[in-house]
Amino acid sequence: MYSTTMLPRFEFLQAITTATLWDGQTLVLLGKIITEPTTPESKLPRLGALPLLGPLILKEAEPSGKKTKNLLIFITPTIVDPAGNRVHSLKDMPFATDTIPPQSTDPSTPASTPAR
Amino acid sequence: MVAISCVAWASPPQAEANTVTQGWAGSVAGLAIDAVRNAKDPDTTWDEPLKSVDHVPPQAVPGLIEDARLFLEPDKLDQAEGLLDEVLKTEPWNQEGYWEVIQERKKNESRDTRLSRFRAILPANQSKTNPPVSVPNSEDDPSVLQTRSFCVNLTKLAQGLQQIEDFNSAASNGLHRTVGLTGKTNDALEVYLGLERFLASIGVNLSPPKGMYLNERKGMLMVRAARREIETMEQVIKMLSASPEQVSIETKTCELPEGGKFGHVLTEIGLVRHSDPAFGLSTGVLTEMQFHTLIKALEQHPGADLQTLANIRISSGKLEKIKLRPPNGRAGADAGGGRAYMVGAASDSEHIDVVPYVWADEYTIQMAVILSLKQFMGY
Repeated sequence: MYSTTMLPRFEFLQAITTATLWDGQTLVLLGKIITEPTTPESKLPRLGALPLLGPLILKEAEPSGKKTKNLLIFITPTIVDPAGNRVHSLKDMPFATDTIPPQSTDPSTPASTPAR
Repeated sequence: MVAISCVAWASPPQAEANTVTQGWAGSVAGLAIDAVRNAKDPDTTWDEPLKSVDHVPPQAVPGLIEDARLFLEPDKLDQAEGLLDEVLKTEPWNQEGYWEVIQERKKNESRDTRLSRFRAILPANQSKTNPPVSVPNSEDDPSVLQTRSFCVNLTKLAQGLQQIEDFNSAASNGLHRTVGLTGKTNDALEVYLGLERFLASIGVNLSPPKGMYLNERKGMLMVRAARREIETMEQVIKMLSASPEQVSIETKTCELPEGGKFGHVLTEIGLVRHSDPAFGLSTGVLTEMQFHTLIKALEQHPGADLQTLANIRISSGKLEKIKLRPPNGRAGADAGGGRAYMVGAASDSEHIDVVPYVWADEYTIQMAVILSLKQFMGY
């Protein structure tokens, strides 16, 4: 008996970004992810499971049906000595308490590059 | 009492010389010089008074230099100086012998000794005799080769050379300077050739009779070259063998439902710098205070799912991969509202590649981040 098999579809995302930080500061990445992907729906209940005819009457849900969430990634680099202790404290870097270093403004270096 | 004082004033002590020359004339060495002069004069007899001669005979100069060297050994610089002054009077052009004695002394004494006085006399002597003669220093002479051995860490040396080559290739290709190390080598021949190439690029040519030998097993580098080239090599090896700074990287992830106030909080407070509409990725930099404030707020937020990933420690300039693990031990696609972008417990396709590069000021860190995600799009 012939039956249809639904194969999952994946999308690979890749983004490259650079930033300049002072010791102990945090780079945060904010993006959107899909948490409820598109699922196939049939116009007529139960008919979509029929062999041969099932895929013909299936209809993919609209893209607006995707549910997304915000994904935050915090990356905090800290300079440490070989023993693992922090080299600088905030007292050593008073400038780092409320300011961030100037970022690269070179237009030839894109901040983020998607690679799908 | 008054009479004794008057006698003392009228006849000042003759033993104390006003100048070095007078002191020299009254010294044992000075008397010896006069004896040498008179001995060379066949007409002179011991009964006649000693005659004062302006110059010593030229044939006595080597002996005087040898005597000066003997005076230098027990640190009798005044006597040696007097002898050498006599030599200069006789042979003003014989600066070389004078300096040979000085250089011999320099090896044993530091500059802040009485030798500084000794050297200070030389320009005066030169001015009244001949124009200054440049005497080559044997240590600065590039034709004089020296041999020195260095203890080297082959791995660090290879990494340093690799970093230089990566940097040069990146600079020539116009890439960013934060390109990390992509390859390592422990092959002694490659390290040797790389070091030789780098030294040649900065002007240290080790062609025969100069040379370099790398003992891989003992970690010894023997160099035979001129003194200046060896000093340059010492600095190069010190620079290449320096350990890079260690960077500890702490990573946290947080999921927020769309439409929440934190979705745009970074933009609202002006921290987001870049935005990529295709991926919807924005980046920003937080100070420590802002980060802790934001983390506390996220912990209290009902819909936030805050996770802490592994804390890693890497060297500056190295690439490290941080895997994104599914929270709460869940794995696989969850079409019902869970983590659709996490497939597999430790999928290699979902990770963050980070390359921290600590600048020379040891405060600033250049971060290059590559975020790779795998999203489940449905069936």
